[in-house]
Amino acid sequence: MSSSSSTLTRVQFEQACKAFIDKHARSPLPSMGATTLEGWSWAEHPTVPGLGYLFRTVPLHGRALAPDKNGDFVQENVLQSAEFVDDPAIADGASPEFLTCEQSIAFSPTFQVPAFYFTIHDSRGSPVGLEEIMNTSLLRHHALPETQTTSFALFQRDALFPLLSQGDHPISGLPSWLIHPCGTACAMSELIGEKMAGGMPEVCSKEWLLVWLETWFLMLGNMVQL
Amino acid sequence: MSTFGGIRHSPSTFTSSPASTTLFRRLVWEGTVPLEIRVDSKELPANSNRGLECYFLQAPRVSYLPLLISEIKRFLQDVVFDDEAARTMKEEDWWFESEEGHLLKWHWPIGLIYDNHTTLATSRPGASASSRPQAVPLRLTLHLASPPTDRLLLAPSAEACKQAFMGQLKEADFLRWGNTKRMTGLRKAEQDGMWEGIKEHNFDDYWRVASKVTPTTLPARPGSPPAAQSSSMHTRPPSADPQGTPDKDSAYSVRSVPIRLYLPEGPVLQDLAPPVLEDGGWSLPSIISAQSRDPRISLLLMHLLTTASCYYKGTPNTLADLLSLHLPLLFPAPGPGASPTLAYALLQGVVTPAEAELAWLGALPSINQDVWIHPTVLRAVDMVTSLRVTVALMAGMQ
Repeated sequence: MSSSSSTLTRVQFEQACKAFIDKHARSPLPSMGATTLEGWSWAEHPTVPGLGYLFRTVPLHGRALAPDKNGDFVQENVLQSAEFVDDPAIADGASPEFLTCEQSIAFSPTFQVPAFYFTIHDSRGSPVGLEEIMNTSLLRHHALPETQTTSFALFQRDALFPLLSQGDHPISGLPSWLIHPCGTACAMSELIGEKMAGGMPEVCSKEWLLVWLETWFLMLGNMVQL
Repeated sequence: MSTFGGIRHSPSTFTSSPASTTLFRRLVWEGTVPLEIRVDSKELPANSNRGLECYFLQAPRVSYLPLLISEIKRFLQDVVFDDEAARTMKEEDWWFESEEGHLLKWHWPIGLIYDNHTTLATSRPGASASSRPQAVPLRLTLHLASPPTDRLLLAPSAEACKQAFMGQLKEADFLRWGNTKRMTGLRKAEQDGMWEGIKEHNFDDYWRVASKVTPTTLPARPGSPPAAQSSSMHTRPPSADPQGTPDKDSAYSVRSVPIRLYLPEGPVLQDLAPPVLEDGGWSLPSIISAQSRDPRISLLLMHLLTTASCYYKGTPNTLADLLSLHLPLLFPAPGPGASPTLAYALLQGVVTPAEAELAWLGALPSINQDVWIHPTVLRAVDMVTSLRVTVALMAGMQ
């Protein structure tokens, strides 16, 4: 049993995910406008028990980067204010690149919370780099405070861990991008605290776990277009 | 386990005095593995000195493939490539593959890669199940172009490697203490100094900083044990300070030992691993039990201990406990009528006793402690698959 409302055990994570799937109808092919809660399925490691995660595949718009006169790829203004339109590919009339985003919600044993992993591939099946990821509609740029990018990570100034970085998917072992879960427990503590003040199911019951995970999705949705 | 006036202590083959810990840390640090790196013959540029494109080196276990690139590049420039090829080679497109075609990960320490390969090699059909791994060179193929970006992290740079390394240090800090204050308490120059220590393979430079964030192997002092039950002359009731303050930096005080189990074909298993199991008993830490076998010393030690109050509540969590928890089929819990264990553990290529305490292992230097599990007797059991398990401890370095 989790010792706090800000974290989960692995068993609770699995219970929450399965309750989540039971509640929200499965849609095999989420549309471009899929909401947070649609299209998720549960997957497990083929041989080792107790290792499961949520996954789904969604289409994304990207913007095909074109070289400028110097032959350098131009990164358009992606770190803009709240007026920035979430779908940059359509906003400025550039021809969109159709991309595929594979998303996972897996348990982080270090931080004892769910973590969001994803890969994005272009129509040829090649993985796209960070610059192109920033050009897709996946990340809500207005929610990303001043960030610095390298080719392999997105940093917030003075933050301990990068906001977005590469790592091995904890179940498949394949390289993925991940939204670092280090700040999740702190944020969840606040959100769950507020909810509990307003009345929640019995702590650690199946219903409570479902509300916990739905709250987590809402929190993630501030940063990621799900 | 022997009792000592109603107090259990767990014998350990390891002492945990600071001097011996430093010795073990240095031994692990200086571990190396032989590598044979051969450029893919199909990718050798024209006019290369064919036949010379093989480079042998003894690489530190605690280092990383990206840190070897410059040395390999110098060799290729000096010996193999002609001027044109040397000028145009792009090491950012380089990638490594094992003999069997396994893609090698940039962010895995070389020791982990080596042990992974050894385990996979000995698990092939026809390999002797009881053979210990031999120190044969790990043969790697170096490709110069077209990295498989869907299976490899995109940026095989030393900078990306450093970031992954620092991230693991911080995660280990968080696992141990529930926060990262020890890491964030380091100045940036100190943090960078740890990576420089890895790059230059300098033990002193690395440990000058690492010692500030790695737990000690000295026992914690969480409080007083119950009064001794026996009046044997070899025991003395400890006059413990009932409000004894735990050694806050002790490996026995951590929330969880940073430890991972690497299955050879994946996945990586990780969960919370407390250093002490709360089972109601009281224990002496291994430092005491190891030295108290000599009865002449034990009395003296007991006298010293009465004021040191080195007892702690619970029994130390051991490697055997952890393995039987996570891999019960390979490591059945001991007891009467228990099935035999089907594998054994290797740490940095050395057989690790099952009773090794996780706390002590977790305070060793280890960027990664790679504990490999090899199957033991398979003839009596018809195993469909023989699993080999790597237990990697990310204790303080990675």
